[in-house]
Amino acid sequence: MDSSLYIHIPFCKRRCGYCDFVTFAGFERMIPEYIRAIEKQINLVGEGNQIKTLYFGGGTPSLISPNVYKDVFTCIRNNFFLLPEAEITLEANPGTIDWHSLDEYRKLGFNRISFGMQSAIKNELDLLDRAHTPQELNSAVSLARDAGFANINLDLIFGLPGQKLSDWKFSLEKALELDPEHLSLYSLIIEENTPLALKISQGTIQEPDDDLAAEEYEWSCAFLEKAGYRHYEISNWAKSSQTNDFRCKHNLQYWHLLPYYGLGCGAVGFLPRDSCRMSTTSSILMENAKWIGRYIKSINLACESREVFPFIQTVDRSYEISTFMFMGFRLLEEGINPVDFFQRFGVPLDEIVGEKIKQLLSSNLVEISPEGHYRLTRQAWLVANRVFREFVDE
Amino acid sequence: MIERIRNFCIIAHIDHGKSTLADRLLQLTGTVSDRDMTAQILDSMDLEREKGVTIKASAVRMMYNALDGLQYELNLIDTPGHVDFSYEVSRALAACEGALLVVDATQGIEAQTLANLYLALDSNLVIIPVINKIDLPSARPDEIAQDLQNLLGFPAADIPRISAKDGTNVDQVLEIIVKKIPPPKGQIETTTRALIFDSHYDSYKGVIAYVRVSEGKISGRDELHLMAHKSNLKPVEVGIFVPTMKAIDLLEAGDVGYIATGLKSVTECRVGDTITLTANPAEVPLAGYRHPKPMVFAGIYPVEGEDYPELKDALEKLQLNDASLIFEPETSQALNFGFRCGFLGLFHMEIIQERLEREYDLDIIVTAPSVEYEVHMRDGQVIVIDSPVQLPDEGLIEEIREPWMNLEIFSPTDYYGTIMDLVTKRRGVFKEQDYPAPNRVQLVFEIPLSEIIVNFFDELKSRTRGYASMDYHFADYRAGSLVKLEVLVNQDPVDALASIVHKDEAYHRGQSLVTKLKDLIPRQQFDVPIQASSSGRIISRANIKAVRKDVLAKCYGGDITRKNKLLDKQKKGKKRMKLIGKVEIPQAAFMAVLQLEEE
Repeated sequence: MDSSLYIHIPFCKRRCGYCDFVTFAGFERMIPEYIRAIEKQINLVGEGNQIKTLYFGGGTPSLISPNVYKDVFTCIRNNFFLLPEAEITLEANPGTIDWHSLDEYRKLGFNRISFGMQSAIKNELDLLDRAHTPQELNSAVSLARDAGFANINLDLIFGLPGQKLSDWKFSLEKALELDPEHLSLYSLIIEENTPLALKISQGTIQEPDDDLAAEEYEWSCAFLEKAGYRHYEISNWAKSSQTNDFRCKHNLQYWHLLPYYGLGCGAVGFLPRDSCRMSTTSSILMENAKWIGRYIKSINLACESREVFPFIQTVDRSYEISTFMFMGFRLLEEGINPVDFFQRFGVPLDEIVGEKIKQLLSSNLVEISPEGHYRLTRQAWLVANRVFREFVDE
Repeated sequence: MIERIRNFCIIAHIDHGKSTLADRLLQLTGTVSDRDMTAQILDSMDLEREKGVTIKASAVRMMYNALDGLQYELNLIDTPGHVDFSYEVSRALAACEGALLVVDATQGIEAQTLANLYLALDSNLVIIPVINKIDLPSARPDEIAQDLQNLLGFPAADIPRISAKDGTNVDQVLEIIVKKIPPPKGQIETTTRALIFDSHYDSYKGVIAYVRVSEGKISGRDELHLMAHKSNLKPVEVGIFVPTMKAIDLLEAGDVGYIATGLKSVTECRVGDTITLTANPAEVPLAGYRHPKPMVFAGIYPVEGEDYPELKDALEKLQLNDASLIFEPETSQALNFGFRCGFLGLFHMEIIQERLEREYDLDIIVTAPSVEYEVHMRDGQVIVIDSPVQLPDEGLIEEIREPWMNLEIFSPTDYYGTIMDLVTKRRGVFKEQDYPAPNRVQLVFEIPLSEIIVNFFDELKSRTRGYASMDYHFADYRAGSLVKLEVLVNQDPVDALASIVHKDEAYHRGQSLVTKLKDLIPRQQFDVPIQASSSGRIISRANIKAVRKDVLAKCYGGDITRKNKLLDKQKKGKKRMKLIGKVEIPQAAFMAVLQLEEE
């Protein structure tokens, strides 16, 4: 079974007000030691297996210079078999990137780049604490094209406080002018304990309007359909043709709940039963320590004791089924293939969750696709949690 | 030696230092060693200590060596400092010959000072005023002594000024007790009568009845007879409080002590009952027995249905010590299984609620309190209801009568206007006013009980910055134009949100309830109309718009545990809500009825 690798780079120049990811600003001095720990973890878990996607997420992976990645790539190749056609993604901050490093990244093997564009409006970028300007994004994209990136993703956020539908239209239209192969559009989620949540509770920033976000989402669906993008996941769109499918292979691995390793602090991996030597008796979840320092320490300890991995927990079947269901339902086109379910769990899907599916079919939240898959109805896209909740453990 | 017994109590307004004074007396007489002295011994429950309210009375025997060289037996009977327990207070007073009237040197006379004073005078007690807290910088003992002189005719110069906190002049109080309070009267060689003035439940010895022996004597070997309850019992032991229980052979006329009855429930051994000997019973019981009647009723429901047995258990345990708490199972279509509870008054209700939450760690929903209505039907029948759910169809009703109270409010004169405003807004009728002390006014009103059980006291406190105090007593039942106010959620009436209100207020209350519910009930999968209706007419309406967006924006590999948890939490949150028809209603909505603000 081919696997995916996710490597977390938690460093940022500064933290954005809405972000609750595992990110740290002002810890750049720890980068060398951190990278060494990543390499150690690769040594610990690698067993020569085939890797079809590699994804450096953050944080700000573009904060780390290409020659540092060179060593990481060597280490990966020594411990895994990185397939020649593998999709290799770098998340990049549009404000802190130049042609030279883009060129270097490209030469290292990166073939997909993802920019956190968020908005084409200066005020909105300020509201989100983003350091870049709309112009910087434009030039970053064209530099990436020059460097030979043929697969570019843009992340945008809608449903911002005080936003108007026309603002959102403007941003998305600006994004399309850059002709990205892939788009991820997220509605702003106010996460607890973030500076943005604080400002909202203090009343200095108004609360985002869910109804507006719904309207923006629906407009985006129609707009991007017309522009020829495939809406293949709730928040993701891609250009796609017979020869060139730009759907994100790495993320598809997650949504299919196929094996992926999580490396670096705060990273999570999921390895289904029998996908590697750690999961011979049951599926496992890898969850790394969230603090840089503790992560490094835990990896060093694991190396001393030669334990494969310090943060492994077994996953029981019902948890895996519920995760398989709600991840699969995110895929709007293909949904859940009962054949995949049967192959994976050894029982027919209808036997396990048939009652729930029946209810969802009758309430028109789920439909059966021409291929016989279960998937969300169009009216369920905006209220998909109603479907997801049905499958989580009680 | 009956001549050297002094039975007395301390009466005071809340926080005027009753318990602290009791502590000092215990220390001065050597009843409790300094080492064992935990602050405020008599208030043994945490809640009391925290609220500064004495809920259960206690009785302690102290031996005092007076300046005349003789040793006296002083029995201090502690009284509940709480308006809802005025019957219990009156029984405790009946067990005494004298009372210390403690007045705070900074606050002066308050509503309960007066209310308790009148009770004490009714029981023919010798009143000894004491001015406490003279250590405080804002103390004005001379002024207050003058007020007390005006009130009681007690020479201002003779009133002891003390600080119970630091012990100043507390010794004077002991001497005055010995000199001014008469010894109990009552013969030992006659038929036995003893008054139960309090009780508590002990898991080893059953109900402990606190008694004052009026005549005769009681030993642990006598079979006893409860005159009102008409039952016999074999006591486990008799004894005195020093202040813990200490068994002795004999309680004689004039003595204060306890009888460990072995009974399983305080309801069998009620305050006010008279104990006599089965072998040689008295003919007439001591006067003043009354069966206290609950005045305020509310439903108490567990937030989690599975806590029902624990709630039942907790109520039973509370009832062991509180004969005035009543409850019976009740089912609500909205809240499922719970209990309809009856309380002596609003403070009693609050205390029970807090104890369930604090001591028993229960999450409960208390529905809007109600009073007991007399419903006179067209066919001549009269039914008594204590919940809006029980109200019959309007067409069958001739009239509804509700309990009215005499309400006394005591306040600095500055707040005269705002108190008048508060009371008249709530249908109160002004009766009279009095100025018992300079800058202090006592206002007397009549007011429907239903108007003071929700938020009234809090509102009074906030309007008067905490300076006003109140006391209330049942007056009579009066007819009122009352209607049932119903709330319909998605066209279904919700029983737990219904209330009985005055016709003139129905519209206003309906409107504010609907507005509040609109904020509290989350948006659902479909539009939900909220309506208030009264006498078959919709008087207010609002619409909760359907939710349009309910989806996790992002969900990738690193999110799976977090998103699983989040979805699980959402699911549990939904489960915790009560499903009325197809609408999920959070607990908070059921409390909305209680929190309608004054406008």
